[in-house]
Amino acid sequence: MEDDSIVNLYWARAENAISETSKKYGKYCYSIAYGILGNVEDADESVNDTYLDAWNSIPPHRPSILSAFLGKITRRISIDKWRGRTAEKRGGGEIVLVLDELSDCIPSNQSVEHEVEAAELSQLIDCFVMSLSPMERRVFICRYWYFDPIGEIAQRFGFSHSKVKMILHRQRKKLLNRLESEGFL
Amino acid sequence: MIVENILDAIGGINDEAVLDARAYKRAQSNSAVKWVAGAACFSLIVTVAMAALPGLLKGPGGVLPPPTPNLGPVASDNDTQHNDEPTQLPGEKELTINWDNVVVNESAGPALHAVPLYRDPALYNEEILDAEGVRTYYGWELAPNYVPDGLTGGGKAVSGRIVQEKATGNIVEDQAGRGFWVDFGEDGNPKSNDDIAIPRGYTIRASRLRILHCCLLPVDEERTTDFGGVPVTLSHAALSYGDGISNVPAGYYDIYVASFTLDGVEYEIEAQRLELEEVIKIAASIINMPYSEDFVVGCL
Repeated sequence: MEDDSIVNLYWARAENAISETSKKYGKYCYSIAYGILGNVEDADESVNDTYLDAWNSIPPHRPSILSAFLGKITRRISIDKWRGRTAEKRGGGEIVLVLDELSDCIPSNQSVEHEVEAAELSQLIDCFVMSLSPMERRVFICRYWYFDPIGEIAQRFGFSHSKVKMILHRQRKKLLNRLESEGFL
Repeated sequence: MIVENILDAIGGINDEAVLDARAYKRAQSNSAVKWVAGAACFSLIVTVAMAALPGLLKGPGGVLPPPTPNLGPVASDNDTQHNDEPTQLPGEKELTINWDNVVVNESAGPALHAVPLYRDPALYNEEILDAEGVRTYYGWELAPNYVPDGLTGGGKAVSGRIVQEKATGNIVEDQAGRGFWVDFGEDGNPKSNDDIAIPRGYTIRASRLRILHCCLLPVDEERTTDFGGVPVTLSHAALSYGDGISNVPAGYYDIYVASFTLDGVEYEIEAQRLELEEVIKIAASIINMPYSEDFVVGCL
């Protein structure tokens, strides 16, 4: 079913909106959730929550790209779910490694949590990512948006593990410089 | 907690880029795999041929006069891009290229390399150009101001070959080349300095007759990227290399080719194992030669 038709089902409050969404984007959402949570049950729960969130959001929203809309919801819900866990329950999801890597961008003795608006930070990150070459941008997004494992990225792009790690290392370094030069740190 | 703020901010990356990253699949057709050896060899052949020509073909030593005197590459006066975005920002000294406008033609793989046309010495004069000859003919020695870190223009440096038809005096072939590589062997040929057999570096080639042929297979609808008014064709292919023992690819490497015509001379930059950004900078430094220390590649 076309995305427009699925969105129309939501607007018509038709119950099969969710089953059609699941049929078309269930695996996509699950892969995002599982990448973050590393747990089947939690990932399933996040995907179901995604459908519920979509049901509550459409209407009034009419997403132009349904897959991106659902993906963002899944990512947000999954991260929130991860945050809700205790440290012991964090498990083997890639998010632990990703957060550890991203900490390269932040000096340990600094905190800008209260100094920057989330929207400004988001804009800076978006600008930074769009300044990367297409291939580097894809690698960055695969790692830090989708939480793909290094090995999976290497296989997808035909790179060695070390090359992927090097690309990501350089990107984090650039991001740190950008955060500093823009006064975020 | 700031790390988690960044994590949340990353969630705001624009939708198209997010979907593009997920949709991307490396081109890996059967033909690409079949031509692995050919691709690797071809890339080297171009360079080796250019570097080795003076030693292999001892010409009379004279230099044919250039068809038209030339002062070398110059930046175009055109200061707008096709999509109405300013190109020369700020002032005249910068050639700014927006990543959003960069178009890379994804090639299926390497093109077959043709056997060189035999030129009967009774009918044609062949001249081998040294650095001075190349400078006289092309207006410069094919040495871009931007050379990526770790590369050097050693080896046999720059060389060229011109073929002139005796009967008419017309030049029928004119190609020159120069290589910049991580390392060179004692014979002057490029060589790798790591465990991957494919050396990292690039070759720049030039022809006033515009008879260069891209080493990659053409795409159906070739698109160009605007470099300050100069349309540049950027092509890419991911090729595999072997371990020399089995037929199983040991890994993949990128080939980028940037082709453009500047001031009547066709140029082709063929890069192995370089990032696209570096290839763009090389091309930009040639196109923006008078101000090549000030070019910028980035997000506008």
